[in-house]
Amino acid sequence: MRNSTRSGWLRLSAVLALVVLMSSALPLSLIAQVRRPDPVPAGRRAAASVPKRRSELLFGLGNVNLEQANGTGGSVPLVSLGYRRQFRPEWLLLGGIVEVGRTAIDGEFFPYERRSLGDSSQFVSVDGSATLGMARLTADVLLPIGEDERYHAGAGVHVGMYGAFPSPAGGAGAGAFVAPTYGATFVGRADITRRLGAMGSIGFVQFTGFDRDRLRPSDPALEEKVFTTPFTPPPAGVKSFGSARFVVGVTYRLGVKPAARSTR
Amino acid sequence: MTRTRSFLTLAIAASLAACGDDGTVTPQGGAAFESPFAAVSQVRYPSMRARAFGRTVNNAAVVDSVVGEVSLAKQLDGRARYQFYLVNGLDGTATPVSHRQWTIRTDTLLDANGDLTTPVDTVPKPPAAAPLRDFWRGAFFGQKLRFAVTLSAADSVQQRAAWLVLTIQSDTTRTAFNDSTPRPLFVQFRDQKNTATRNDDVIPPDTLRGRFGDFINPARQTTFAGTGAGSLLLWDVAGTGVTAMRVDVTGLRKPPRGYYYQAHIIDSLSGVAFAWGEGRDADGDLLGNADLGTDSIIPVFRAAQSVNAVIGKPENYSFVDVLLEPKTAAPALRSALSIFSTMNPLRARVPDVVKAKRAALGTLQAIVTRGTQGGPAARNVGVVIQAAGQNFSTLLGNRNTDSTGTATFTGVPPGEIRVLAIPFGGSAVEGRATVVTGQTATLRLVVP
Repeated sequence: MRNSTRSGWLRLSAVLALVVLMSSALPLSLIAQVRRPDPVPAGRRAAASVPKRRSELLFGLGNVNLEQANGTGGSVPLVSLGYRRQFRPEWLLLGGIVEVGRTAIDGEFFPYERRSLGDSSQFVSVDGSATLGMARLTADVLLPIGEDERYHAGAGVHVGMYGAFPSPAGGAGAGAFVAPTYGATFVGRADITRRLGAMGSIGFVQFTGFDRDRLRPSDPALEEKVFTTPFTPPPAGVKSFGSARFVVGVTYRLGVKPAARSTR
Repeated sequence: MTRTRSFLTLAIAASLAACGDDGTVTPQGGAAFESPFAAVSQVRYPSMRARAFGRTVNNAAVVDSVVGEVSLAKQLDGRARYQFYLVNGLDGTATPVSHRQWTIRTDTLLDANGDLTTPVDTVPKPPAAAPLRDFWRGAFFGQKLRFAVTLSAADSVQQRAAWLVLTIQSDTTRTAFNDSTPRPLFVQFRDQKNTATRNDDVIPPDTLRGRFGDFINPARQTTFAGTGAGSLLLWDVAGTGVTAMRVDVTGLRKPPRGYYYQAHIIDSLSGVAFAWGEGRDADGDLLGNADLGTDSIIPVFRAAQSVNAVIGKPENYSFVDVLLEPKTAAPALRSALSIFSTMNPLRARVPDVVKAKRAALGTLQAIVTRGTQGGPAARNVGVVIQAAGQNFSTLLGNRNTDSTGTATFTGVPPGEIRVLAIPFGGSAVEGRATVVTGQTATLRLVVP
C-alpha cells in the first residue's frame, strides 16, 4: 500500500524547483556576458594587454563521499554544472556550481514494514534512493603557470545549500530536507583551444544538518510498534560530516569570437 | 534562446537524477502470525469462603471464630507469606491474627471402572492442627487452606472486627498493614450497621463468599475483573522456525496491589509454561508497579521476547496468556514452569497453522503386574497419566490395562510423566516415566 506522497513525480518537481531556484542567478550574468563579448585580441601580445573579464561554463563529473551510518551509499557520483567569471584582479573568479547525484538508501537502517500476506504477514525492509542536489557559490583563485598561460592552478572555497530528496519517502516525517554545506578545493585548468579547456578539482566538503530520519523509505503506518526492527540496531546517524570530493570536466569560455573570423 | 537552453539543460539533468521509485522490498525472516487476545470467561481467581460462628451476649452479637477455606492462592517465594488481618469496620483499625490451618489436596482421578474419583487428603487430620503463629506461604493449586481464626473476647478490636482480610507480607518478621500492603482477599463476617453500638450488629448465618481485588478500607473495596484486548504476534525472525513473540494489549485493568501482569506461553498438553518478556507501556517504561499507580486502566501493555532457543518453537504450545502474578512469587523468565498463576484475564491462541507443525509426540506404555516385577499381568487396572503442569496434576489420559496388563497411551508430550496405577479397591501405585518425541517409553508398575 503506497502513499501518494511517495510518487516520483512529486519529487521530480521538487528537485526541478530547487535546481531552478538555486541557479536562477547564474544564467542572468551568463546571458549578459554573451551579449557583450570581449574584444578580439589581435595576437598574444595584444591579448595580454586586454583586460580579462571572461566567463566560462563548467561541465564535470565527479564524486563525493557520504557517511554510511546515515543509511546512504558511501560514494555518490555527481554531475556538475557551473559558471564562473573573472574579476579584478583577474586571478579571482567568482561563480556558482550546481551538482546532482543519486545514492541508495539501505532499508536496514529503518524500521521494517509488516505487510499482510493471507492469514500471516511478512516483515520487509524497504530500500530506497535519494537524489542529492547541491548549489554553491564559489570563489577561486587561479594563477597562470608558464609564459603562455595555458595552464592555471589555484584553490577556492565554496558555500551553499544541499538537499536530499528520498524516494520513496515513507509517510509522515519523511521527505526532502535542505541544509548548508561548505568546503574548499584545489583547482587546475588547462586550455585546449581558445574556448575549450579541461579542469579538475579535488577538495573537501562539509555537510551539516543531515537528517537520516527524513530519508526513511518504510512507511511508519506499517511499522511494528513493539518489536524494534531490525533487531540489531543500526549505528547512530551522523548529522555533520566531512567528505572528499573531486570533479573532472571541461570548461567552455564565453565571449570569445573565433580568431579566424575576427583577424583575417 | 540561450537562456532557454540553459534551463533545459538543468531540467534534463535534474530529471534524470530524480526519477522516483517505490522502493525495493526485501523479506525479513519467515512468516509472522497474529492472533487476537480475548477475555477469558471463567478466570480462576483466588477465592475465600468463610463462616462466622458466634453467640449473643447481653443482646450483642459476639463472634467466637471464623472458619473457611482459601483456594488458588499461589505459593509465595522466600520470606513472603500470607497473613490474616481483622479490620474494624468502623475505624479501619487492623490487627494481625493467627489461625489454625489444614491443607487439603483434592485430586480428580479415574478408577479402574473409569469413574471419576476425588480422593481428599487433609494434613494434619482435624482437629489436630495447632494455632499457626507464623505466616502461611500458600500452596500448590491443587490444595486449599482450611483455616480457623479464633477471636478473643478480651480484645475490643476483635469484638468489633467486621472484616477478615488476607494480606501478602514480604517480610516475616514485621507485619505491616499500610497503603502498599497487598490485601487481595477479604470477606465481611459482621455487619456493624455503621454504629458503635454492638446491639444492632448482625452476623450472617450462611457461608460467606469473599472477594478478590483490593481491600482499601471498610468503606471501599474493588473487586478485580479482567479487561483488555490486543494481539499476539509470533515472528519467525530468521526463517529457522524459532520465533520472537510479542504482546500488544490495551485497556488492561490495574492489577490489585501486590500483583503484576506477565505474559506466558503455555502448552495445554503438558501444562508447562514459559514466562517471557517484561510488560512495558508505550514509552517503554516497565509496568511492574502498575498496581501502585493511580490510573484504573493500563492504556498500553507491551511485552516482547526475541528469538529464544530455550522457549523454542511456538508449535509446541497452545496459547499465550497474560497472567496476574503476585510480585512476591514472580516466575523466572524463560525457564520451564510447572507452577504458575491461574489468573489469566486475557488469552490468545497459537494459530492452528502454526500448531500443525508440532513434532511427533511420544508413546507411553505402562505394564502392570501383581505382587512382584515379572508377576502375573494385572488386568483391568486403571492407569492414569499426568503431565508436569501444576505439580503433575495435568490429566493426559486414563485407560484400563488389557489382558497382558498393558495400557498404551499415544500422543503423549515429551517430558516427565506421572503414572498412577489404581487397582479396583486398592491403593494407587505411582511411577514416573520420561517420554521422548517419536519414541515409546515403557514403565513397569507393581500393584498388590
